[in-house]
Amino acid sequence: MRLSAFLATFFIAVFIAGAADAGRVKGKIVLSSDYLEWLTDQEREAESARRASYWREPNGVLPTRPPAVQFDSDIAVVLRSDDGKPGQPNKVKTVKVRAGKLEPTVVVTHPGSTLRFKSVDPFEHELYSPGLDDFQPDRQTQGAFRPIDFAQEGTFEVRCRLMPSFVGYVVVTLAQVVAQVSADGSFSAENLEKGQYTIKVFHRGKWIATERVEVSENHRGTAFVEIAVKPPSGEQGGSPGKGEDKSQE
Amino acid sequence: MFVSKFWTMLLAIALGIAVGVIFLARDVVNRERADNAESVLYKEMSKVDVALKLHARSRLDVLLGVTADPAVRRYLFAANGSPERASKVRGDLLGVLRKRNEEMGKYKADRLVALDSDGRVVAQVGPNEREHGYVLKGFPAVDWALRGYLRDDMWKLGNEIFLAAARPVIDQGSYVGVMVHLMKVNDALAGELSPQMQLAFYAGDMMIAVGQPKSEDAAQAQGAVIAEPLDEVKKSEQFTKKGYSHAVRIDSDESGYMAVYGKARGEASQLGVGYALVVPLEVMGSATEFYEKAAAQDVQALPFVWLILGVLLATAFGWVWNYLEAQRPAKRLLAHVKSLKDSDPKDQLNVYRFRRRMRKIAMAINELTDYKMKALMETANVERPAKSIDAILGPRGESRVSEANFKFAGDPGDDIPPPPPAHPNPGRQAPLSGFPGAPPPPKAPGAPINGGAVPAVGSEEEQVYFQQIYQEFIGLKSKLGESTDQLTFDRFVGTLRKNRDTLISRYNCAQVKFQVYEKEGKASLKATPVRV
Repeated sequence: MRLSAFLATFFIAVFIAGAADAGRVKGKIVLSSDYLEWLTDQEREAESARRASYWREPNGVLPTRPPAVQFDSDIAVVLRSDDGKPGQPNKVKTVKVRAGKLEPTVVVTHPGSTLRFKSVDPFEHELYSPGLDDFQPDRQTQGAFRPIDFAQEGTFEVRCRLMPSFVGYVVVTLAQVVAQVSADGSFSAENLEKGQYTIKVFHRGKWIATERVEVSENHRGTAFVEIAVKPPSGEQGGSPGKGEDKSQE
Repeated sequence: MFVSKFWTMLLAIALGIAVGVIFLARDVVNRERADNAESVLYKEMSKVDVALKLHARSRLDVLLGVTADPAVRRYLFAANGSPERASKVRGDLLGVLRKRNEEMGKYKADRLVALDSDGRVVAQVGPNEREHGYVLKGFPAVDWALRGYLRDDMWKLGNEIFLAAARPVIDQGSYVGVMVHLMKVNDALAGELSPQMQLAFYAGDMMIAVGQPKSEDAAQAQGAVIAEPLDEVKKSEQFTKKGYSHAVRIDSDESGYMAVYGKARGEASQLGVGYALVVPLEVMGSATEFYEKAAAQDVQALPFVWLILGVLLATAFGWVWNYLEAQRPAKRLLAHVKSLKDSDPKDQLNVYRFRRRMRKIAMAINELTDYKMKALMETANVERPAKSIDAILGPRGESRVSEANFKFAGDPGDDIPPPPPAHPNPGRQAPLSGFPGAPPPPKAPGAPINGGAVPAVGSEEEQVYFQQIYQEFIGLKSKLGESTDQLTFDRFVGTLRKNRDTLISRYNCAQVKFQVYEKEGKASLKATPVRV
């Protein structure tokens, strides 16, 4: 709770400090305590609903932590230019299939791209996506690859039929740029052409924040952009799967 | 025979009710047993849930001995940061874990796994101990433990089910890793969790573990038998909504069982893992099993005195009705038939002394004797053609050749009784008017007498004779309470003449004699051809 109180002193939801510097955008994502508490509530509700365990109690020695958000895995940031061409299909990208999740958990790619899912842990998997007819359960052992084409735009949840808690999301977007997010939440996008960009932030398949940024040839300074996110409202958070992408609305 | 038949029907109804009650009792007993078994199963289900909860608590508690071990804490602290650091301490950590696992006694883990703060496996005790470096992050129990929680779970890995317990490892004021305790669900564990009742664990439609309870009264069903109704059970609304099924009856070749199926808690439940509780169910297959399975005290408790009294009473009543309605009338008929032996050959049974079937028998006997008599007379006529009718029927001026009964429209009548006997005799019916051979009734002076000489056809005397017969007939009808409104003299005479003519032409006789008599409570007429 002390951590939550500390985080609550920051601005609610997502705070992005952006620096538009002639073809380069830098920023940092900070999750508010409200958002973390909301995540905790969601997690507890899900636990209760599925009668997940008999015992779940704090250790009594150290304060417990809020739900872990692994920025470099669970968060994805994309930039879409208002004027530029839609993103082109990527080269084949490999995604690691861990025991309980994809690595990274949120994978961003462009329509028409192929992802190779590689099982790296000593567990069998049967990955599938509820919204994709071409991605049906198929047994996959350790070391095996499974290439899947993602033709249409949208956010797709990836599940494993053998591991109910397995999580993974594939965001297929027309956005031109996928920013690299580091473990501390900072991100950067290089070699951007001048113009207006929309920054969209995804957390585990949910679209949680949006911000506009301008990249100008004459712009040399650093601009800080704050994004107010109300996590539980549902207006900011998009729903994963079903090929839905609110960026088109 | 009415009462006898009624009594037989009553006995049959009573027997039917008794048999029905036995079948009802069988169904009631079976249902009661099923209800009891269901109730017991639900109670035991709660016990199993408590047992699983306590077992989870115990596993978390014994795991404290590992997570609090200074060496484990130290090694895990050192293992964080890079795979190289983990590989340096793996061997030592494995040694400590093995030792600690042996100390857990009955809660010894089948797999004891040490994870670093990223959820990566540093070392594991159990199968494939050389396996390491893979990540268990993403399993809810591990994720919660990495955040500082103690948590249990149930995992399905391959075709095996594990009871999982996870605790954080704390060293130097920070979380340095997690210990995961996995205990495989097998037959022994199922038996331990439910020693009094058979407990089995299933995954999908396959039984993973089938307990063998210590109690001799408990079910000992095979896994295949328990798995049989799983498909149906999982489709049921009760199971889907509440997480446990109604009690289901399952039968094998040897025994019958009752079982309830419930979803397990934890991750595995989403993979179709659950458990079943089974009790034996003895079902009454046939009604005779009541007698086969009755104990000595049950037999002794029967009200034998009342049962015997009831049987005797029913038998006595049956015999009484049988005597009154069958034996006694038959004896009477027999006595009357025997009495005919000493009477006149023309004598017949008085059928009105008998009732129902006996009357029919008596009538049949009369018809038979009539037939025999007629046959004898014809034989006598053939053999002695020179004899006159007078010689055969007596010296009177008229002799009987044949006779016919007839009735008037509106007068019911079917059976024509035999002619009245010539002599008074017990069992005989006397005619009201004259009859050949019978003593003639007193005559009115100057009037033809019924039964006396019959006037010639078409004579005035005949009209008077018809008048006399008419008066007698009307008188008898009135006496018997019959209506005479419709019966006019003209109509009456017309009928008499018509019959007279018919008989004269049929028998070639000179005249026909009419007699009035009572038949079954109604006035009737008899026509007898007369050869003068």
